[in-house]
Amino acid sequence: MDAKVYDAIVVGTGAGGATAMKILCEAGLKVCAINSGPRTDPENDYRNHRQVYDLKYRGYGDPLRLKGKAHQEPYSVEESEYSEGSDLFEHDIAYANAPGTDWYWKRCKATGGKANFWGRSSARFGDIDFKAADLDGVGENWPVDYAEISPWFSKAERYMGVASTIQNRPSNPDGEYLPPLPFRCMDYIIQKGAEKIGVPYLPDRCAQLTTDHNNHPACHYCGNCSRGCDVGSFFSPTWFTIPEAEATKNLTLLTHSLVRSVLVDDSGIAKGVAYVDRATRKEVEVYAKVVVLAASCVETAHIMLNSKSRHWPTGIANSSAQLGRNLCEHLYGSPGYGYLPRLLGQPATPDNIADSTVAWMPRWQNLKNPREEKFVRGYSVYMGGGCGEFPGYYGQIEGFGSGFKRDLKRYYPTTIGALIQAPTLPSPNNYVDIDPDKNDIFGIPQLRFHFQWGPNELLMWEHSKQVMIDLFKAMGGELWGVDDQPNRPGTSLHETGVCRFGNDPKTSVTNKWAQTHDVPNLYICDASIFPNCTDKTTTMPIVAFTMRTCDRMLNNFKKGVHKRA
Amino acid sequence: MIIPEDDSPGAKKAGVAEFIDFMVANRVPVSTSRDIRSTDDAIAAGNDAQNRFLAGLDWMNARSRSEFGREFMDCTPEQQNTLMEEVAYKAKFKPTTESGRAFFQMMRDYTVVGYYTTEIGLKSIGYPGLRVVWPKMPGCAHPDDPEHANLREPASRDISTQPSKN
Repeated sequence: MDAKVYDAIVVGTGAGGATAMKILCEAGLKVCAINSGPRTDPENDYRNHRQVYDLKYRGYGDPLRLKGKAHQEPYSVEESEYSEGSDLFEHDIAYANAPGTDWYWKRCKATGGKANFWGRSSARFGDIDFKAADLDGVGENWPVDYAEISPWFSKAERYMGVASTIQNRPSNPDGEYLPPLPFRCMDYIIQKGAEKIGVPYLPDRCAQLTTDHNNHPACHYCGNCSRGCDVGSFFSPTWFTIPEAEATKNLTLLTHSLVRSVLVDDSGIAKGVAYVDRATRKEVEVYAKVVVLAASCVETAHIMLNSKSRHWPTGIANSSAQLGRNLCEHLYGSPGYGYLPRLLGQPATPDNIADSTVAWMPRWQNLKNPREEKFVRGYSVYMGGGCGEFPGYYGQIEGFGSGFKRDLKRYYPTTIGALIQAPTLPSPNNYVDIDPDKNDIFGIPQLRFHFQWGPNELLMWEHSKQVMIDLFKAMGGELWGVDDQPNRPGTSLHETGVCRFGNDPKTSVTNKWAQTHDVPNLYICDASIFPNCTDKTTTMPIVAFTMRTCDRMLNNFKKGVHKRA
Repeated sequence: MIIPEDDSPGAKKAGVAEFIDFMVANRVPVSTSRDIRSTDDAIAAGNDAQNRFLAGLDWMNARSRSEFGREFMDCTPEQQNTLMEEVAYKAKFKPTTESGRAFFQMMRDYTVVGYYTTEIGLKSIGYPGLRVVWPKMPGCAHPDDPEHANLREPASRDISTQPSKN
């Protein structure tokens, strides 16, 4: 067996992990990156300009494709018939939901992870998020403030390329932006209506290259982004960080290797990881001076909870007993959808060729006074619509024949829908643990979810439905309906919190540098360190915090806190 | 009949009948109220769709025989239209056609999906994504009328079918 010792092991190659391995490799460290599934191959795994009629089942997929798998539930949006035949998504390993929990855990195990297919919204967090507990007395502050993090947001934005405008919004610090995506007809109409009811409607912060950027080509607007970009015109590990890490020749990338636990030495310090080679089903050990976990939030907690030893009887670095706790997520759902009669019969417009959240309603609640509303904190809303790939609104139109067909075309540019992004508050009822009874097919104890929506996020949901009624009225739109209930927890893919960072080792898993309090050579580079979610998405902040964590780690190597192998 | 040929080809030319045959035979539902959590769920939903489809065809023929004394496919276009209207339009619903309405909706789901997932169907509606390289995103063409309060609805014949395939 290979007794080689690396400088660092990085577990996971998504937004966080691949950023970490790129930075560490470029600094000259010998890095072993371990990825659970195969290497992503854009040429075979992405959509690549195929049209829906090129697919055998027109996008519905072979209903028997997951037969015999341990976890047979298809993953909406990210997984599709375009990637059928590739083994990108995790269906071999099941997970458990505690009674009353209905968590939808969508896992991409290929290199790059979900960041191959992400939505690209990239807003900065601000002090309104970091110091929310000071404002409203709920939960814990973050151990960092905006002044400290702002330069790292800038670094992440410069590296990734984010399109937006300067907006001076109190809840949304401005950053360094490429030219924004242009407003479409519907955006102007919505903006005018929103203005009338006192709600902002502004360009989103979208990690999409509206110009050439750092040797990555500008977007060619095929609209296939959420099935993977064929040329790398938005940030993804597959096109950005992984090739740059490999170019250093300092990277060893193991694929099809499922990490089961962090190994410790006689003093309880991390000495490597144990993984299962999926092909041989054999357990293998790899050793390093530093271990970085970036396995996608809850999977990071899963690995740590399964890393039990004499020193760490409840999981590695869990002296605070916070490991797995504080699971947060965005409540998603449509608080209103309908159409804009003034666009009826207009020519089809290329509204979705950027496949993107062109504009959104950044948080506007509880800004002047943190207790203005019945709920604390606030939510954001994305608006989508216009000419898409399928006239999904046909159910609103009665009948058949030429009149029906003509109406489908008349309504084509008019439809719009809202998507709420409401943060949950940490709750003692929301956490992950290890299922005491169930092991997966490799004999690894399974993860179990405990999660319910809380009253605060449900008040936001109710609030947003009233806002949509007012907005549709103000912009001269017609509402067709609203989702009966929010989407299932897990849908947004923005889980946070299960290894929260903080200054007090008694109440947090890592310090403010994402270095575990208990095990100084164990770092975390994913959203599990964020103590709660905000109204913003997590990918760009994951990249920014990872850059900062790696900078700290490299300093620790320089100072001799960590020794090179 | 659901999507006829007019200024663009209809469902027939777009191969919708073959598509429906394929999807029903392979038990792929295009609309289902079932929650698909496993392959068994998918199989159940597919079987259910297939059964409802076949039962619906029988219902339609039974209705057609009782109204006009012959199978649906042997009726005149006018007769077929009458049979369809009473399951398609609220104003023409009859208490005895309830199961026919459910079948009509299902047939319409398959037809709309079958048509608007073909090149013909997507062209007919002007789907901009048939063109896969755009120099830039054009955005709104009416900057001087942000509220779009003064747009005139062009006659349907004038609607330009958008960009050709690249």
